[in-house]
Amino acid sequence: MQSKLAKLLVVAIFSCATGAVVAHHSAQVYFDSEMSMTLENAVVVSLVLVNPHSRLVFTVEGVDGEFVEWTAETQSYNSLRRKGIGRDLVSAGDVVTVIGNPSRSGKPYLRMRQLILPNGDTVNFYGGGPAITPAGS
Amino acid sequence: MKTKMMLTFATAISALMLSTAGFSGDAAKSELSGIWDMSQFGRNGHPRNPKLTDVGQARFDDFSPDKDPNLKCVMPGVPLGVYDPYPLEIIEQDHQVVFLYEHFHMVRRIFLDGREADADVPPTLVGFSVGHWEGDTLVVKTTNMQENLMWNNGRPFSGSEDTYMIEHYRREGDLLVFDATVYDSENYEEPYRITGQRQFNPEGEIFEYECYAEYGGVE
Repeated sequence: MQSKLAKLLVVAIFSCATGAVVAHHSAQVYFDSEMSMTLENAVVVSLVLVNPHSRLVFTVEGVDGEFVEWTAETQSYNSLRRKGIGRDLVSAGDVVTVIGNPSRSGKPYLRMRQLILPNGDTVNFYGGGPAITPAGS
Repeated sequence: MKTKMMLTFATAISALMLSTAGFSGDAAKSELSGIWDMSQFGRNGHPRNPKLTDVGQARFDDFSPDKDPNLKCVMPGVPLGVYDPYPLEIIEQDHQVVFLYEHFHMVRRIFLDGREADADVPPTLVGFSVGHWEGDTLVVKTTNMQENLMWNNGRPFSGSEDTYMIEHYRREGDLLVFDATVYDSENYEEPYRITGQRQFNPEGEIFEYECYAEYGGVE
């Protein structure tokens, strides 16, 4: 399992000069804010919109062909609600791209900063800009 | 059924009294009433490098995320909750100013009627707050705060018996300008000063903030 994860991380992670990330709930301790990872062809299992953190569960096929279940933590539901994000954002079975900061623990866990929907729109979970960037813009 | 109806009626009367009482004071005292957003002003209202005592430094070094009360769905209390990213609704009454924080449904009552803390009551998360007006500025003194965090990056608050906090809240146009100075000599060499602003949002809403500890993210 560990080596499978390691292979997947090697494939998925790239360095990113993200600059300072504002801390919330000690997030800088859990997640490596200096690293960004992109997980493509992620198949949605569930989206739970709650406080203090919402959660997307999805699976991704590893390099060995086995599927790994990932958990992506993101903003609180109250923050997402103010951005106009609701439970119709994704459905089970949707194929999406998840972008975020990996967990320092090495587990299949990340802080989701962006999500690319099946229609190509990008959801921006953090920052003060628009919540949705339309595909192609 | 009868009891339930009476309770509902009592609740409605209480809500009506709460919503109208703020308008019975003089004009200067009603300046703070309303919903105030924080989000667009960021969160960096804490000092960058506060001077910790040896005791405070040891507590800071000992911090780990599993000790963050917010992740366990325990409300922040104060001083931690003074600088908070979610909206705050302020309701003014003659005898008190009520701070209704969306985050964790935290409620603070700033008593203006001269009452004093009950010495038999142990320290609490929001402590005991009394206030007075200096012109258009609400000045708040809070005591009886329990051990807590100053900030959820692990900066400690001792909750020692001699700790207290002085806050100022003043309206400047559509801004609520505030500061809080926390006196905690056990953990800090100097008083710890927090500053911030909130934006008036007449269209704002306070949402329910139910919290589920299993979604706190402690791996």
